[in-house]
Amino acid sequence: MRRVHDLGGASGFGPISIEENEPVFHEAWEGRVFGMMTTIGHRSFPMRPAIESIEPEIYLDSTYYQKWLIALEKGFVQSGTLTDDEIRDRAELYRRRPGTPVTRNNDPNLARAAWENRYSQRSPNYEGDPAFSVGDTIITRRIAASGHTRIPFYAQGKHGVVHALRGVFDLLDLKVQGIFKPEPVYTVGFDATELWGEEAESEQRVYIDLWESYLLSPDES
Amino acid sequence: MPDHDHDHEHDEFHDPSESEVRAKAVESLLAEKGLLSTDALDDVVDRYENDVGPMNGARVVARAWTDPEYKARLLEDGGDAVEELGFGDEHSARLVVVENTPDVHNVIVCTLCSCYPWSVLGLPPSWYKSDAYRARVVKEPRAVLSEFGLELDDSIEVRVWDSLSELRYMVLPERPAGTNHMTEGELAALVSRDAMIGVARAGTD
Repeated sequence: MRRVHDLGGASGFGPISIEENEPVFHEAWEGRVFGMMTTIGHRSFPMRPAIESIEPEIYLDSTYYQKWLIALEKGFVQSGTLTDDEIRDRAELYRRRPGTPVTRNNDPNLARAAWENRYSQRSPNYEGDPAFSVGDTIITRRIAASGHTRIPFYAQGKHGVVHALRGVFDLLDLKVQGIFKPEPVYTVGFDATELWGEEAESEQRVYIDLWESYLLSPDES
Repeated sequence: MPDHDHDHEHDEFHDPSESEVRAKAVESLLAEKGLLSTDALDDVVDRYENDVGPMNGARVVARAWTDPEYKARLLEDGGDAVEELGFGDEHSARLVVVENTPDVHNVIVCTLCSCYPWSVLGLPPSWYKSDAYRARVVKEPRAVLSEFGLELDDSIEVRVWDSLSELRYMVLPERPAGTNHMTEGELAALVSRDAMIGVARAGTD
């Protein structure tokens, strides 16, 4: 089953709406939410699962930074940093008295820590040889849609050809649970007809970065 | 500038949105708990509004057009090559640069969220993050590109790059004809954000 954020190939969407001369942030709060997520939020809880766990009706009805804000609140509440009650009460204060200043904290140690810890990554300790080589034909696994995964629905159970080996990265499906499993990531090329059948446009290929766990050799499947 | 100055100015006319009051609530609470440096937050917002954007990618493209050895390094390892120009990626994402040719046209997307090469293009436009673009461009790229005014001959192969892991993609557009006399700086001015996403050609904006 397809989850709501897994949009590739989904039908029912109209023309792309393009805004000319778009600002980086449309409103000041969007910049604050972006900054909170990319400095402190991202290292306090897994961000993408928090976004993907937003209820489908709310997900489709929210702007990009509204989703980030919902995820920020959820992430900090679930990690025990904030409570729903205190967010609600403080929001009520800003609603009733919009001139109330936002609290500043200019502790230089905090600022330094925010940058130093930013996106700190474990360096993958991978031993072994990649199972596939450039030019190999593979078939992708079908993955149960309950948890976080980075193989899209439209590319599951499909034949593709390994285009490049990109290096070793922690498998995100597990990393979001705090488990670090480094594995090779490949760029795999798929013919559009393999993905979309007769609906495919002519002369088209789709290239997707996929962890080794997502791939099988055709004789295994 | 601290937010409260801004609010004082607009108090009388300003009816804050639900998102605005909730964002302020979260920011204040995190600052009070000693978890968030609001100075660091100001810096992040300022950098992405002013210093990081498609002008960085445009410089990379112009260098690749004028320096064949740089272009070879860029296509071999995009991350290292853009770092030479000072556009290193603080998120440790690896950059892959894919080259448009007379026979191949590339376009990038992230169908699961909105992965995008921040270090060279800044933050993505709303349409790149939209459900419609994410749903459609992997399945009907020619139709989507034509909505951007880019009509591709049927003989040109379209390659869609769905960036879903720790890699980020940028398109190296074709150098427009008749630009042999131009300097690197003049060439950079021909390179739009959309050309580096792959929904436009360079020099046609």
